[in-house]
Amino acid sequence: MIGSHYTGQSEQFLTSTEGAAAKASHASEPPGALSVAIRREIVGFILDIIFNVPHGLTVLFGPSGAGKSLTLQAIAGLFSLDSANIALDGIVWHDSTNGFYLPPQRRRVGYVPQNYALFPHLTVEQNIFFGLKVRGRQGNQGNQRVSELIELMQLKGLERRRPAQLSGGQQQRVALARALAPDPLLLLLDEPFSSLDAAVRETLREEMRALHERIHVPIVLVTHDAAEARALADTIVVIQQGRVLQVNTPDEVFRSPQTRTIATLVGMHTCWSGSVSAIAPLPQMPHTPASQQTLTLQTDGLSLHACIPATMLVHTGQRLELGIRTDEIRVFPGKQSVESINEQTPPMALIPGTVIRDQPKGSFHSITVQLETGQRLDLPMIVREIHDAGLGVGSLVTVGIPVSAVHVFEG
Amino acid sequence: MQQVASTDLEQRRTMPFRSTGGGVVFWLLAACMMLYLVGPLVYFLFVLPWSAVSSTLSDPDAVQALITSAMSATIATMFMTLFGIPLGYVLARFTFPGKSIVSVAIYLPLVFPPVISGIILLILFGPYGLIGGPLANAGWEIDDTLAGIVLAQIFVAAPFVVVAARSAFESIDPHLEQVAATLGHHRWSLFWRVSLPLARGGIIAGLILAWMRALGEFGATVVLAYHPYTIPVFTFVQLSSVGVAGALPLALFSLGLSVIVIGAIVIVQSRMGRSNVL
Repeated sequence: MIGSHYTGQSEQFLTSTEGAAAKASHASEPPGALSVAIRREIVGFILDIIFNVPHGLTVLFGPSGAGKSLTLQAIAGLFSLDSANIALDGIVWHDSTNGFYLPPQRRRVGYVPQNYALFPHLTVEQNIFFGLKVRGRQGNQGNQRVSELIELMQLKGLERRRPAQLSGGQQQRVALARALAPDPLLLLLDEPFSSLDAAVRETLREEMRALHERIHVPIVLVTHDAAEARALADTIVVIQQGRVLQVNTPDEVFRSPQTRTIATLVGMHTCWSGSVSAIAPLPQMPHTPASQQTLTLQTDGLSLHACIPATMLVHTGQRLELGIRTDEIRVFPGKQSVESINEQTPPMALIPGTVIRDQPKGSFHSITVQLETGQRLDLPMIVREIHDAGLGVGSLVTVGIPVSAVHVFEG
Repeated sequence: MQQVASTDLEQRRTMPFRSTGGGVVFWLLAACMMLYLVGPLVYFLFVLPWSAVSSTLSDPDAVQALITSAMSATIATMFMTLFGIPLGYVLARFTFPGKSIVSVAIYLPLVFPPVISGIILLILFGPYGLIGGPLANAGWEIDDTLAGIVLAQIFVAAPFVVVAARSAFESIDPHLEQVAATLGHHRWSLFWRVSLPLARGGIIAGLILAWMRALGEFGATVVLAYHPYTIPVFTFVQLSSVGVAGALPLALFSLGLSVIVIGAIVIVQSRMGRSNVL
């Protein structure tokens, strides 16, 4: 894998990507379907990306200007690199240690840039046919493939239109059809939904998932939209300022971000720090799995429980950074005690507070609760819940923070 | 992409606010400039001895000069097409040492006094020049031949083609060529299938302009190849031998041609949608 290929440069690579990236490319892990290790210094910016991902839909996720699009172009062979090792299914595309470089013409990737880059002087049909001309699929065979894709991408009736006469969604489907026509080994999609209306975006996201299940081509997709990353990805690669911060499944990245930086990127905005007061199994939770250990933490007058991997070494008195999964927090009307909540709930810290703000956010509301212990929480709640509990600004409530809502950062 | 361009244009056409005085100054100054540019042409049409037009233009010498001009300008434009478009493409798509020097150098013939261009060419292609000397010895004289006229015209007019081609290629979204590359097309193939078709409008406009510039070339031609007469040289000869009356009908001819060419460029650009030259 990377370690063995990079005898000369591995040190540079490993020292430049601490923590997450180094772990993600650790030599003991099996090599992924796509392995990427690239480096390029541009004025004021260092792109230094390492990741291995299995087949499936991989999302490169991060803020604008993080280097996601450049990474995509580098995988396609369109962006020159200082050093690189790129391989798909063990077949090397670029290895700067021995000077091997496969030009983009021979990598068989389907590349769809952010603006789709449809050829404006060609019709829909000619656009899709464009990649078949050079791959020995002339005449009937090529035409057959074009009609297959027109069928698959629901472009019937638009064959003779020019790109300027199509809607944004149609343009995207033509660009996908054009990329798929020559049977690519890998599909690279740069912010495919960013130029579309919110309503269309949702539909096309689902279509993309469905398409991916039909065509069985690994996809690398770039986005800065957290919801999109979570909805689409099999694997998420979190990128910021030219570095890989975390590589994992969407559930892991969104529920258990490795660092506070990643937490901010994935929308985990409530982060507290606390000190460990006890490391012991909780009486209410007798069946803690062997891979987990439970802690009790003190944070500004609050006593919280948390569940962390057994492999993580902690000691009492140690300060830890906590991320709060606000969607796991319960809100009860009025003052409540453990006894008065008559349902079998998991261990839960109960804190009284007051609702001080109620903001509609599309399909849900964001309720801000001022806790008696001083902290503030922004909690997502659906309208029915708010009505049932009779909540409004000024209502007294009791907030229940269960073990599952408390995430401990490893860093 | 094209939709965006058209809405941009619409926004530019509708002024964001209504004029509230002060516009008078602009109108006055602008009117002076317009009057100076258009006035002489109108006056020229009034004083032109219309009765002499047909006889002057059917004069065998004038016809010969017309043929020489049309042939030389067309041959020059063919050379500019063959070599100028590739230079425009290289400047638009590649980086190489000395690129900025080349970029500036191609503008020089546009700002040089054409006579100076003629002298520079003469010391190279004249009968005692570095290239012209050996060629003359071999019986291939350049000065005072059609070849000399063509060389002078290329030197003066080629920048129009190179600059137009370069800006036309640069205005193409680089993603188009990148996508073409991932679809298996190599440089040569994607040039013919993507870059050239999309740059066509700007390049054709540049070629028409260059052809017109070659047709009107006087300064460099007079130095390098006084003979055979082109229309501008013949007009000058008429002016100095017969006087203004002999030159005016020829001037009408050149003016008419200019109007047609400008019209052609406007049509090409509105058809192909990009404004690179005008």
